[in-house]
Amino acid sequence: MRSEVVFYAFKRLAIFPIYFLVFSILIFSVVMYAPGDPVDIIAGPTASEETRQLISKEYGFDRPVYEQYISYMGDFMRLDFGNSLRFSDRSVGELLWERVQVSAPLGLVASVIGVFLGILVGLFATFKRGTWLDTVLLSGFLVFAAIPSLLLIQFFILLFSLKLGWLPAGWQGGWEGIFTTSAIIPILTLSLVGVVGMARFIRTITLGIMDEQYVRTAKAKGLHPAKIATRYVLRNAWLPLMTVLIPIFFTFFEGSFFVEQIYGIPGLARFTIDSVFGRDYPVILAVGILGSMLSIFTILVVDILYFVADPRVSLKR
Amino acid sequence: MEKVSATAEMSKRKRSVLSELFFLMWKDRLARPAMVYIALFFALGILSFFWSGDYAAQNLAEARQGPSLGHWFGTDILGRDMFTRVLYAARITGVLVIMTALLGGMPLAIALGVIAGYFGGKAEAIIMRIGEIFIGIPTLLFILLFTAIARPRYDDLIFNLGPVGEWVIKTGVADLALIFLVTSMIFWVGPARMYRSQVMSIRDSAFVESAKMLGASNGRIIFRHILPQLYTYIAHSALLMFAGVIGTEIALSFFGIGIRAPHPSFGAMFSETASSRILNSMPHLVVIPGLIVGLFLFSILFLELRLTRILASEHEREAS
Repeated sequence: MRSEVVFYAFKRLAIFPIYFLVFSILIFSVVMYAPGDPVDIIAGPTASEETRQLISKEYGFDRPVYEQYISYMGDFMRLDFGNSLRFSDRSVGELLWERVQVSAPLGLVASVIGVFLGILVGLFATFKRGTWLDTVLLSGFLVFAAIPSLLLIQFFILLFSLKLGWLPAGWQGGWEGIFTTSAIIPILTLSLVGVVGMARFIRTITLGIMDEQYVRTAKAKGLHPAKIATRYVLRNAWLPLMTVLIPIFFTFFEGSFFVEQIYGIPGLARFTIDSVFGRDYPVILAVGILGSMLSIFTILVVDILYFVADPRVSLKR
Repeated sequence: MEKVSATAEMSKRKRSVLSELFFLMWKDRLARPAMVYIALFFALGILSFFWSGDYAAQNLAEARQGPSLGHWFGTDILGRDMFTRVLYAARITGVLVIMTALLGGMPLAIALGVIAGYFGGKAEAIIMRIGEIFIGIPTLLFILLFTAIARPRYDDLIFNLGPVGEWVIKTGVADLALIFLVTSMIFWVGPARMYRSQVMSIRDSAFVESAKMLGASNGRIIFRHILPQLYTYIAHSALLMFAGVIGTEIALSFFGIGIRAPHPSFGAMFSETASSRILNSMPHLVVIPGLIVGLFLFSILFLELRLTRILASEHEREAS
C-alpha cells in the first residue's frame, strides 16, 4: 500500500519535466512572436540605427528564436532571469523578489483567514442543515464570491474609508504595510471571495460523516457540538480537505490582480500587469513560466494527495 | 449517482428534460426571485435596442450629476447619461452569455466531453492533453497575458478587413468577439473533463450495452441515452461558466483590453471609478451599475447553489 503511493507519486512527478518543456516553449514563443520590437523599449524612439543594432546584438535579439530559447532556459535554470527592460540596471529576480515580499504575506494572511472562515461556516451549515441559518449563511457569503473583487474593493473603500473614515483608502509603505490598518481592506476583499466555496466543500464532505455511527454515539453522549465538530467530524474530513486546500490558495491570490491595482499595493500582481503593458519581456517570461510551473506542481501534488486519500482513483486514470 | 437517477426519472415524463429542470427550479420559492432578476437583466439589455439615448453623447454642462428625473442613474465625468450606458453594458453582458451558451464554451465543452468519454482513444488523448495545458496555466494570468499580447495583432487583422473591419470596430463587435474567443478557449476545459468521466460511466452501463445490441447508432445512443443523463451536470457547469465569462469580461475591460471606449461595459465603468477622488465625489457611478451587475452575478450563482438542494430534495422525495 505505502510503496504503491510512492510509485504513484514518482509516476506523476516524472511528468513534470515534460510539462516544464511544453510550457516554457509555449510561453516563450507567445512572448517572442508578440508584436513590438523590444529594442524600441530599450533604445527609445529617437535612437540611431547603429545604436539599435548594437543593442540588438548585446541582448541577442538578432539570433534565431530557438537559440534565444536555449540560452534563456540555460540562464533560467540557474535562476538568472536576465535584466528588466524598463528598469535596465535591475535584474528581474531582484525586482520580483521585492514584490513577492509584499504580495506573499498579504495573500497568505488572506487565504488563512478565508480557509478558516470557510471551515467554520461549512461546519455551522452542516450542524444546522435544512434550517434557515444554513441557507442564509451560505447565500450571504455567496455575495462576496459573486461580486468581482475589483468591484468589491471599491465598495469597501467607499464604505469604510470614504464614508465612515475608519480605514485608509490606499496602501501605506512597502512590505511593512501589512502591519498597518491599510492592510485590512485588501485582506478582507481577498479572503471573503473564497469562503463560500470552502464552506460548500466542507458541508458536502461532512454531511456524510454526520450520519456515521460514531458521530451519532458522540451526540447521544451529549457532547458539545464544538467538540463533536473538531474531534469527530473535522478529523475525518482532513484528507479530502487537503486536496482542495492548495488549489484554493490560488483563488485567494487571483484577486490580487485587481486589489493591488486599485488599492495601490506595490506587489507582484501589479508589477506583472505593468510589465505586460510596458512590454517588459524578461519579466513577462519569468512570471509566466514560474507561475505555470508553480501551478502544475500543485496540480501534481494534489493528484498524489487524491491518491493517498482514495487509492481507487488510480483505476479511473 | 443520485442526480443521474433523478434525471432518468425526469426523462420518462412527457416534458423535455430542460423544461422539467426549469419548472423544478421555478417551484422553489428562493430560486424564483433569482430567475426573475435574471430575466429583468436581459430585459434591460433588450431595452437598449429601443432606447433613443446615445451612450457616447457628452454633455459637459450636465457632468458629474447624481441620479435625477432627467438622468435616472446620474451622469459621469464627461456628462454621459449613465442609464443609457448601463443599458448598453447589460446588452453586451447578455449577448456574451447567450453566445457562450449557444456557440461558445458550452457546446464546445459538451461536444468535446462526450467525444472524449464515449469514443476514447486518440480523440480522447488529444482533447485531454490540450485541456491539461489550459489547466496547468493559472487562468486569469493566462487570459490577461494572452489578450494583452494578442490585442495589437488582432486589431491589425480587423483593421485590414476594410469596410467590414471598420464596421466591426465601430460597433464594438470586434471587442466582443475577442472576449468571446478568449473565454471559449479557456472555459470548456473544466466541464468537458467532468462530462467525460460521467459519459464513461454511462457508456459502460447495461442499458447502453443493450441499445448497442439492438443496433442503435452512436448518434442515437449519445442523443437519446447519454445526453439526457448529463443535464443536471450541464446546468451546474453552464451557470458557473456564465458567471466566469461575465467576470472575465469585467476583468479584461477593467484593464482596457476588453470592451473599449466609447462602447460602455461594466468593467470599463469600474476602471473609471478606481480612484478614491472619483469614488468619493461620484459614488453613484460605481454603486448603481455595481449593484445591477453584482445582483445579476449573484442570481446566477445562487441558482447554482439552489440547484444542488433542489435536486437533493427531489431525490429524497422520489426515494421515499
